[in-house]
Amino acid sequence: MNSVSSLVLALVLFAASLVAQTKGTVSGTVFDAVNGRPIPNVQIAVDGLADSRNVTDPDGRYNISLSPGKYKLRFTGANHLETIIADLEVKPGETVDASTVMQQAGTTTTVEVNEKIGAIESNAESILTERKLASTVSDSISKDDIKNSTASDAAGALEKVTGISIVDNGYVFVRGLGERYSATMLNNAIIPTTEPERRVVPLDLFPANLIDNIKVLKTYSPELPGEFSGGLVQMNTVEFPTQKVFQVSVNYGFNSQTTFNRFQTFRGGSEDFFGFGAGPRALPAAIPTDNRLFVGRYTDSQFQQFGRAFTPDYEPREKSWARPQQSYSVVGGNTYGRLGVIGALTFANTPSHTPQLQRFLVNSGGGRPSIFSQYDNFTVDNESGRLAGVLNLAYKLNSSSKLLLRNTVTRDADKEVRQFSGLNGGIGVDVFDTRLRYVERTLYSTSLEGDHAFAHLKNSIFHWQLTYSNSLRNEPDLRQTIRGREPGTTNPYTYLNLGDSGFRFFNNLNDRIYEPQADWGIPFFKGKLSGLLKTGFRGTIRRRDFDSRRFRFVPVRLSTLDFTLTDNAILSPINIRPDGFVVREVTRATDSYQATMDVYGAYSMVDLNLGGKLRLIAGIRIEDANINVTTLDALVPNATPALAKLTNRDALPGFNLIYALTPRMNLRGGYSRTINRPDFRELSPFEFTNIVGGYSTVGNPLLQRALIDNFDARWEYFPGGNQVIAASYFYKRFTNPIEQTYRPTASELRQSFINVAGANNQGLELEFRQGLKKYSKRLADLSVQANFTFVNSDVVIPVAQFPQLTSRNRPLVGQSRFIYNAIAEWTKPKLRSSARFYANSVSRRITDVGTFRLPDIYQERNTFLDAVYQFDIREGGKWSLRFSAENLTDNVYRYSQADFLVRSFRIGRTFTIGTSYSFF
Amino acid sequence: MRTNILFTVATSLVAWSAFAADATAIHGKLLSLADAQRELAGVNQLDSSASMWVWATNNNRRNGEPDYIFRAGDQLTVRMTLKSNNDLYPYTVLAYRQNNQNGNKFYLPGNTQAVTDIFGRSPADGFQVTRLPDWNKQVLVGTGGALVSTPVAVPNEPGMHTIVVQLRDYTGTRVVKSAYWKFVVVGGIDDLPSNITSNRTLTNDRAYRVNGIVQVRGGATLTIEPGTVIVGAPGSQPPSVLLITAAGRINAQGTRSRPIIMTSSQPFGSRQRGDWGGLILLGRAGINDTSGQLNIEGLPDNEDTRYGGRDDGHDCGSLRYVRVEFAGALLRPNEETNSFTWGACGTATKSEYLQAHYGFDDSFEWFGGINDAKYLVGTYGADDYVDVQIGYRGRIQHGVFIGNADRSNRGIESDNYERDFGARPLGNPTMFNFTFVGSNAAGFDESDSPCLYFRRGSGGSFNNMLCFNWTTRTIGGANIADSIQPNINAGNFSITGVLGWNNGTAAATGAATNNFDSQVAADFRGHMNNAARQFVLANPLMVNPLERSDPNFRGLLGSPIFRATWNQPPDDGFFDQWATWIGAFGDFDWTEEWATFIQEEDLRP
Repeated sequence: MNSVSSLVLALVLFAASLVAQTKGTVSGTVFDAVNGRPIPNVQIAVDGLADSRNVTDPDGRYNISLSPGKYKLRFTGANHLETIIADLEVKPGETVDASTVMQQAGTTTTVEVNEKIGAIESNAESILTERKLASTVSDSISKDDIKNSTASDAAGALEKVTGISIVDNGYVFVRGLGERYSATMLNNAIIPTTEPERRVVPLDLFPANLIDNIKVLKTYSPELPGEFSGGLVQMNTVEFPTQKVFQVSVNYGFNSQTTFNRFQTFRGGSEDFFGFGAGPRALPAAIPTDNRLFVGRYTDSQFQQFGRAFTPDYEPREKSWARPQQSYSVVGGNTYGRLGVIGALTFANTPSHTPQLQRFLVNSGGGRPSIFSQYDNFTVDNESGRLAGVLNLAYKLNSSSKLLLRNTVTRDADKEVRQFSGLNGGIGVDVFDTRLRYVERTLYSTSLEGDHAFAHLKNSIFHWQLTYSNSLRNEPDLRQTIRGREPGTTNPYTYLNLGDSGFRFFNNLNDRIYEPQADWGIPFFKGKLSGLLKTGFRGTIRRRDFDSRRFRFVPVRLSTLDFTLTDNAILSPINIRPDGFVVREVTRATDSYQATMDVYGAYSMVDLNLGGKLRLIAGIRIEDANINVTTLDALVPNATPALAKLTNRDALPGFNLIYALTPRMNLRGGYSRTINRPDFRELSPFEFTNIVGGYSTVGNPLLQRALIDNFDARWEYFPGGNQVIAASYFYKRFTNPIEQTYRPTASELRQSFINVAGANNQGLELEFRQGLKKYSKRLADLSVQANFTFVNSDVVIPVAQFPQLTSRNRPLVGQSRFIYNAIAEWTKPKLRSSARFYANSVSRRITDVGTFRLPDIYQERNTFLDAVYQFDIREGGKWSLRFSAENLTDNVYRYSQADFLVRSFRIGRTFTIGTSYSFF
Repeated sequence: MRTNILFTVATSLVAWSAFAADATAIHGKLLSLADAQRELAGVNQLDSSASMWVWATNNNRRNGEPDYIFRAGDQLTVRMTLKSNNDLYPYTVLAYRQNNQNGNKFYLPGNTQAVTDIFGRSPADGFQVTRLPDWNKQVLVGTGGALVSTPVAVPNEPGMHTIVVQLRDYTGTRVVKSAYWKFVVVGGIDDLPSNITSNRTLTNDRAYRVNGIVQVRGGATLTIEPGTVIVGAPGSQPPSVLLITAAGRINAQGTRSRPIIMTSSQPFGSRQRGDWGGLILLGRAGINDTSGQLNIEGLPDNEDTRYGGRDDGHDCGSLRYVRVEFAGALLRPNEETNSFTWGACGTATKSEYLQAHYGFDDSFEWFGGINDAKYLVGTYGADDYVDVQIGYRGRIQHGVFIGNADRSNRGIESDNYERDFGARPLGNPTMFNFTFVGSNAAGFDESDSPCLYFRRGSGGSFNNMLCFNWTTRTIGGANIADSIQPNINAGNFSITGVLGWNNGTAAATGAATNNFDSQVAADFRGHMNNAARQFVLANPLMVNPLERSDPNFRGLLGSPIFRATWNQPPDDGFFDQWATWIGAFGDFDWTEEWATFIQEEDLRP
């Protein structure tokens, strides 16, 4: 809260200080033509005039302010051939990107890269350049791509990237591998998760407006943390402006099944709209925080007092119409001599109404499954409020050193009413279930980093970074009531005394990561042999505190209560009495735990150019990991803590070989070994009750970390400009992968984890991005992009370890066999218009593994169509209008098991109109 | 009050003659022997329609110990409720404390071993004959008590004691009706360790406390002497349970006079369901989950809480005359522990004369296994009474189950396996002779709560069931056509011999409908609409079935309970073929003395 408000203040002050400017700016990054590394200490002469200030920084970047006109830039460096960009036009108040590559001296082959370099206008192209030269296989999405899509957050933006699908709204599946095989970094630091049951943070937490670019690294290199196999998602927040920026944008969205329709919500605080509603929902002050509310410890009248302290509100309130979606954002930044500042602030409020059908099957014994429970009227009404901000500062100590301070805060609140009714096979009753839930998630990350190029130390580069990140999840006062009636009747529902009825739940998660890291790189040039030696260190010190309390109103003498009353009436204070409802604490000993995970990794690697065509990146990383989970109920006297521990040291080699078939064509091959460690709750021998999922989970202290051998091959062709054609093949072999299993108890299924012998995952990726100009002049304004992913995975489930699981041989959970994306782009500068049309199709995938002779549950193929049209009211994108249509097909999401549809819903079409205005 | 006058006078023998002169003026009317003889000429008085219960509390009760537990010297208060229910027979009344270790009786009001009636008259004097008064929570012994007006200090006689009030016929010889109350005198209370790994015997001169999970494992046998009281501590998570793991045994053989009581730590009147966990026995007999081994409901998953295997002969131990009271601690939403739980116990396990009193979850629940049980009492449970699942294959006979005046759920809830209705081996228990008496209120948490409820592929044979005043209907179920009909067709499921009356009310109409269609769920009508099924809707004519704290379920003259046409149990070495009646009771009351029916509100001071 404090950090958010200080950010707002900073932005306001900063905006006020902006003044008009008539000069233009030239900026860019200088890359090594062979290995793609940024080159520091390159001198840039403008029209032949050298200036000691015009030198690239340790990131290879430069920034020159010039009066409008045409210029010629000449780049010279110690070990590189001279490069020239001619006819560079600088317009007043605008920035022109003049990134380039430089050829190493001593390399004989020429690479034609600098023709028409002045034409580089789009970030997408510079990112392609970077990708072409990258040491690892990666896919990226640039700021422009994000801006031009319908995505409102990082998860939505990534959906269009090759090999990626988004599962459960925020989790990235890369090449069919689930979130347990991916990792997320923000500004080059690992970030903690806000979800106690997940390993990585959901990406829908990051508003698109704050993000400059997202890169998904698909192959490992020793400088990266060793724990990923599918992909490492690297997000970078807004970059430093090369000129003064201040932009405001406003969007309104209309969803066909939500906006202006009836909407369920519930009472909370006055700031619910903004996502600050935890205060009024906090645990009542009357409830002791140093003791559990156990029988025998307090008197009946104290219990009555405790019970009456809870807000007696269990019923949703219906609004006759839902507001449109709204989002507002402000981005501003400037450079003041050596100091660069950028800040962004965004707020969005999004209501959604999702009616669903849900069914649960059982094996009836008659040979085929039959319906066990069926909820025809399952609705989720959610209002999400999201406020996020970024404040980044850069300070240039001198031409070869700079300091960066980057801060990101994002918070997100969901206010959800869930109601369903129908036959519950578990109790043989028609139930009517109402749950009111409010969750706040906050992620704060701050990092201080420095880049130093040491010209006298053979141009070596030193990078250091200290990051502190903190995720908080606060779920105050979840309330649930269940009513019931005899099945098949239309009697009124009466209050049911079930374990989840009259239930109140409070939950807090605090996850912190302290991450120091340092890298040192020394380039070397010896005739035809050149390269970079790199070594570094990263410590990831993670701490988690998890705490929750559960309460339930239990009826004592039912004859004193009228169960036909409404929920609010029956649970009203007059019925909270020793012979009516009494409050009981049902917190479990394992509802609180502390966990630590310390990972220290050090690596050495070499990036070697062998002649001009062959490049080898090889190295090794050593990682020490130490995981500890302590479960202890501090409020129970003499409780003994339960401990779980895992210590490992692993050597993780990585090799990448790049062969330039032609200057525009690469062939890549790679091998690496990565690991996958058990998560906190997977390792602890004690049982955790999932909050979000349905199952409780008991960990397995005997779990080992899994080893993954990754093989990659890729052919890529960059025809020039914003174009690419690429094909990749990958094969991954898992040794002792951690898989979920189920152990039933009498009343529920309980999830556990086990190492299985092995699994395989292989696939193909094809990518194509091309302008259509060369096929026909009429198509000059059009370009198309398409990508296709095929994944085939195979897990063999040993019967002895998983007797309850039905499939013995199946794909990985969440893996689609085919993923297609197609994007058509139309740009007509004359009309100041551009439009994009997206199609995305994901084939069926397993969402839940079938148990007890029931088949696996599949989410069926679905296809999505989105369209965006943008019109500049004033030239140069200063003031633009934007129309987008999301989910035009509005296909039904279908989940099936055997021949039954077990879940289906639609999310509706969303039409958004927005405008943004740049002050400079 | 008239009753007070009676006892004020009765405690003072000196004043007795003066009172007798005016005896006709009071309700508890005294009679002469001759008058009584004249009145009852030719009548053989076998039973009484009166209801009565007696209980004792400890004036020096220690926090965390129930009123059952006394130290020598603690002062005792005895109270009694008596409802004459228009029983106008003349009686003689005796009251005494019996030391169940040596059988010695100490008669009130004198508190000596010399036999007297409550008026202090010895057989030689001739007992005083009286008609029954109505007493409500009348203090008999204690400050202002009617028999002894000061609290009595309990003697240093360790072990179990019983307070007995007897209604004898006017001649003072034949006992027509008795009320009993058990308490123990101990030297102190011991905490049981969480792990019992070597043989241990709990003797009745101490009391014992279970705090958290107490598990018997490592081949150990836990022996509990008759008359031992075990207290479950509240508020522990996981809850306080006595867990006999598959690698341990229990030998808890109480007697009719000295039952073993496992109970709440709270004072009488404020005990609640779920004050502690309960008793769990696990074994290695077969279950029908494909994994062959499961973790028991309500407890953390580890080696000690798993049950199931291939040893159908597994011996979990012996339970006889054991009461488990106020158990069923809430573990988490929808998971409470049962009062008695058997998980995969085998044929060598013995279970007889067991009472689940005020259980939060089911009174008796079987998870697989094949162990038999006899003589079960379930009173005022909040969930089901006899619940079987995961392929239970045992036999059960003689059971009485009383729904709470507040609500309870189903009488029998029989599943094959919840997660796979067609799992094998099929759960096919055989049950005979249960009486269910409900409160005719809606289910506690299952609004479809018939007396007999079958679902999820249940097999089995269910016989001679008496359902009276239960909820919803007599026979119901779910998934019948899909999952039970195949068992019926294969001869693996049958219901034979059901006497139903006034089951299912409904909240809307307030009246039960005693006709076939409303009493049998639609999908069972094909099976039940057949003379061989002996489905009878008739008033069972029981003596006093709805008096909660002292019910009398025996049949009156002409009761259909005794019809000659009922189905007979097999003489297979387990079933008692002599139980020729329907329901739990024919000629005698096997719940006498060791079981308790007193509702908690009825002993609230």
